[in-house]
Amino acid sequence: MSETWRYARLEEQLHPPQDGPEIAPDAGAPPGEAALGTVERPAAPGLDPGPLLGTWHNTNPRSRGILRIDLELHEGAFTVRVQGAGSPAPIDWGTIGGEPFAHDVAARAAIAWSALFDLGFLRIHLQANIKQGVLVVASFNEFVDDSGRTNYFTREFFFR
Amino acid sequence: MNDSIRWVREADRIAAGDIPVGGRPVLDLSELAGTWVNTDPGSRGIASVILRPHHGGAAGDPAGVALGVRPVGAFDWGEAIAGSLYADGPVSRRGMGFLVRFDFGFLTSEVQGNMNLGLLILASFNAWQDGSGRSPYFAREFFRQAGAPR
Repeated sequence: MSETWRYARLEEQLHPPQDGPEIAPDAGAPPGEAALGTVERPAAPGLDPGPLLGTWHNTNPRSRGILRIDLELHEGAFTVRVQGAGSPAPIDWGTIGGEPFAHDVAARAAIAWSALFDLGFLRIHLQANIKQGVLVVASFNEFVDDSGRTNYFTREFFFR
Repeated sequence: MNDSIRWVREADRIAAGDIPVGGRPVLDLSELAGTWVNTDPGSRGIASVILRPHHGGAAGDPAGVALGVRPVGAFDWGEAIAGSLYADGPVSRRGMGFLVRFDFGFLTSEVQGNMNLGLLILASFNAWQDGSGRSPYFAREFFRQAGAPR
């Protein structure tokens, strides 16, 4: 039995119609709101975070940002541990839960993840994906202290 | 270096002379502003995105500047205000990135944008809220400024 599910992008359709127009937006959507399509599809199983797991090292050994990321499963939960560049030793940010993502709506293998480190004076949104064997990590940094530092963005690359 | 401020990586340490006077500076969003067109004309995701700075107390940067983000593909997503704006360094005021969330009810899409080498890169982390069993998924697309010389 098929069900009808909504989508916001054509790439979220699993079975685009072979005939007729591919786009089937809701008629009469209010101006300023997204008009959304629908598609019939079967349900997909859960994600496998296995492809993400392991210890990832910065491709730049002299990085002043993140040196190492450990992606693990703890009792079935996907976790992220980060070590930042520091002296005399790297700084352990601790281990938190992360959220894995696949490369499309039907895939089971996780190839991306996100996690939020709330360090009190600093909130760091990490959002990452694997591309050609490299883990690309975007870091969105928000200072919540009164240091006057600007929120900033960085991207770094990691290998296993 | 100023040792009175906290940091968890060397990149966040700044020299005392680099600390802005009068608090966090307002970001300059002029490089982000405008209409950006997908470099892949056959994209099945976002075809274009309009970035529009808002000044004067809108949600977003506490200094009073915010960025409206309006992706358009097969559907017009409408404009959402980027809740967080980012420079390219802790003492920079050059606005180069943003995070914005679209909530369609059945789907939430966390979109991160940043500029690199003249391109706008949009990465989205998409999670279904409708019980459909569809996998949460990641997508990244690249955009050029509309009207940029070829």
